[in-house]
Order: sequence, then C-alpha cells, then structure tokens
Amino acid sequence: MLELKDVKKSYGWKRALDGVSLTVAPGEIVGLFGENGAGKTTLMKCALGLLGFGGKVTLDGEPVTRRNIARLSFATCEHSFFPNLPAESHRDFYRAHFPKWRDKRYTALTEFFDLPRHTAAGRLSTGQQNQLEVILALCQGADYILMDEPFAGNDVFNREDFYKVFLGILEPEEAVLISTHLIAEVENFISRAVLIRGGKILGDTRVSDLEDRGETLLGYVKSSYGYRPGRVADALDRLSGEEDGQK
Amino acid sequence: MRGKLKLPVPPGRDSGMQLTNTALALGAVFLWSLGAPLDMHRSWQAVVRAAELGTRYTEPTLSGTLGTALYGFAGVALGMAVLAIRNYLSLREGSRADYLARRLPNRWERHIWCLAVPIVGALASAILAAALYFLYRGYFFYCRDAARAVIASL
Repeated sequence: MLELKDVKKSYGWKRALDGVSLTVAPGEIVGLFGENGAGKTTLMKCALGLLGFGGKVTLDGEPVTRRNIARLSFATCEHSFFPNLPAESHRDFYRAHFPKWRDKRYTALTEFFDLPRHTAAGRLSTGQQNQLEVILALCQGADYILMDEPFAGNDVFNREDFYKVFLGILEPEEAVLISTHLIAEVENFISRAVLIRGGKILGDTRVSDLEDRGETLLGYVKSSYGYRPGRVADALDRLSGEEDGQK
Repeated sequence: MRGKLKLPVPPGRDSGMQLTNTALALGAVFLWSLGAPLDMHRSWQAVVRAAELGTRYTEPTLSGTLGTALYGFAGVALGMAVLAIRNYLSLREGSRADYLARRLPNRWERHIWCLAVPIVGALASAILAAALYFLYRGYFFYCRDAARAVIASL
C-alpha cells in the first residue's frame, strides 16, 4: 500500500499541498484529476521523494528510501529518459539498475508501438517520446506506477491503444496513479477517481459507485468543482453586450 | 560514441571527449610550464655571464623563476569544477533525466557520473603540478649549484 499522510508542501509563500492524505492499494488504477496548479504533479514528486515535504509517505508501512524506491516508477510529461540514448540503451540501463525489469513486456510494447530502437530518445516525435517514457515506467518492475499527464501530445488513436494495452498487460498487483486532463477517456480504465484542488483532496470515489449512481466521471468532476454549465454563455452574452454598447 | 552507455559520465554524454579535453588541457598547461626551467637556465646563465664580466648581479629566486608556470594547473582544476556543474546540469538538458537519476536504488550513482571525470582530472592536475614543482625546484638548485661552481672557479 502506498500511503501519503498529511503531506504538506509549499513553494515560498504558495501552499501547493495542504495536508493531503491518500492511499493507493495494490492493483488499483487511480485517476488523479484537477485543474492546472491543483497540486497533482507536486503530489507525485513528493511521493517519489523528488521534493522535500512535510508529512509522511510510506510503502507498506515503510518510509520510501533507496531500499524500496524501485517499487515506484514514474512517467512524466517532462520526460525522465536520457535524450541522447536510444530506446535500446535505455533497456540496458534499466536492466542494470532495476532488478525486476520486465524485459518481455518491454520488447512486446516497443514492437507494438513500433518504437525506433536505435534513434536517440531526444530525436523521437513527442508522441514516441511519451510512449517510451510510459513503456519504461511500465517495465521497470515497480509495484506502483505513477504517471503525470503521460499522453500530452499523443493522438487519440494512440491513447486508445495505450489504454487497451494497459488493461491487458498490468498484473493484478500492479497499481497505477495517473494524472490527466483526459477525464472522459480514462473513465473506463480507472477504478477510482481522486480530485484535488488548491492542494487539498476535494473528492475520492470508486468509478463503480459513480456508475451505480448513474453519474459520469466528467459529471462528478464538474459538480465537485462547482462548474457552472451556463458560465460560457453568460460570458459570451456579457461580451457581446459590451460590444453592442460600444457601437 | 553517441548512444553507447558509458560510465562514469551521465548516460548519453561522451566520456571519451571529456577525458580527451581534460588530457589536452593538462598537456597545454604542461607545455606552458616548460617556460619555468628555460627561465631558470637563462637566469643562472645571466648570473654567470655577469660574474665573468665583473658586473653586479643578484641571484634569481625559485619563486621568481617559477613565476606563473604552474598556475595553469589551478586553471584546469577550476575547469573540472565547471565540468562537474555541467554534468549535473546535463541531466536537465532536453528532459528531466535527473528525476530518474535521483530515484535510482544506488544513491551515489548520479554523483559518480557527474564527478568521476572532474575528480580524476583535478587529481591528475594536482599530482602533475606537484611533480613538476619538485622537478623544477630540483632543476633550479641544480642550475644554482652549477652556476656557483663556475663563479667560484673564476
């Protein structure tokens, strides 16, 4: 179990995480949703120990240290691969550093996505770079796979392929925490949705519970965020009114 | 060498180039330092010539003849510090590979990548500078003794 307890993080005066508590159980696929600046990325970086923070992050009750850090993997839209190394060298690198590296999965995924094996990662297209980033995170052999907007820049077909592949390859004990703005796309793929706003958890629900209530994930997110459907029409009315007044 | 995984530099960086550049820098400062023994030789020759002519002379000093000959090695050491910083920054060039480097099970790995060549370069520079100092010092006293022997025989 990956557990964050009362995690606090500030950037100067700005509080990015304000006492966030969250657990991710083995086998769960958790969607983390929130507007830009809500604290999604900060939360993941704190969980990985990439940022200093207040509070506690534990893995099966143990603090995250070098001894268990390999149980967490990370795919970020900023990309964490080495841009001068091709996919094949990344395989060698990961194999040398992560004892549970899943080589068969890596071969299958790179072949499925037709990823060039000998082109430097930095020279791949953005979509391919995202693919490599996600594939490396999936193949590291981690129990908890953290993904921060991993598909920003991939086309819709490619994303769909990924969701299907995800569901097909993940072992029952592998957990995924994925942050994305593509709420509707991941609705059928995640098991739980966590909403974050202003550094605080705003909502946490099972997708099956939403289905039981006849609610969509997007509807749940909108209502939790207090989204007003008439907001755009109101703004357009106001704008056109102002222009009429100027004439 | 592009694409070959080579330690101990950050993956994707060319360790061969870093070592070659360091060796070239050390070679250049070594050549520059050769001015010191030449100056020692000339200075003591001038002393002998002055003694032969009966004119006044002052004996050269070790620090005076050594001058800035060994300063280049300090420059190389400084360059190694810059190289270390560049190596760390390279993990943020084109991607955030530092995220991966910082979550490797071996906490020292990224420091080894970034510091190995600079430390070896700085050590080589210090050892070479010390060795040349003692060599040039010995040469200075050899020239002095030879010059004094000639002057005494006049």
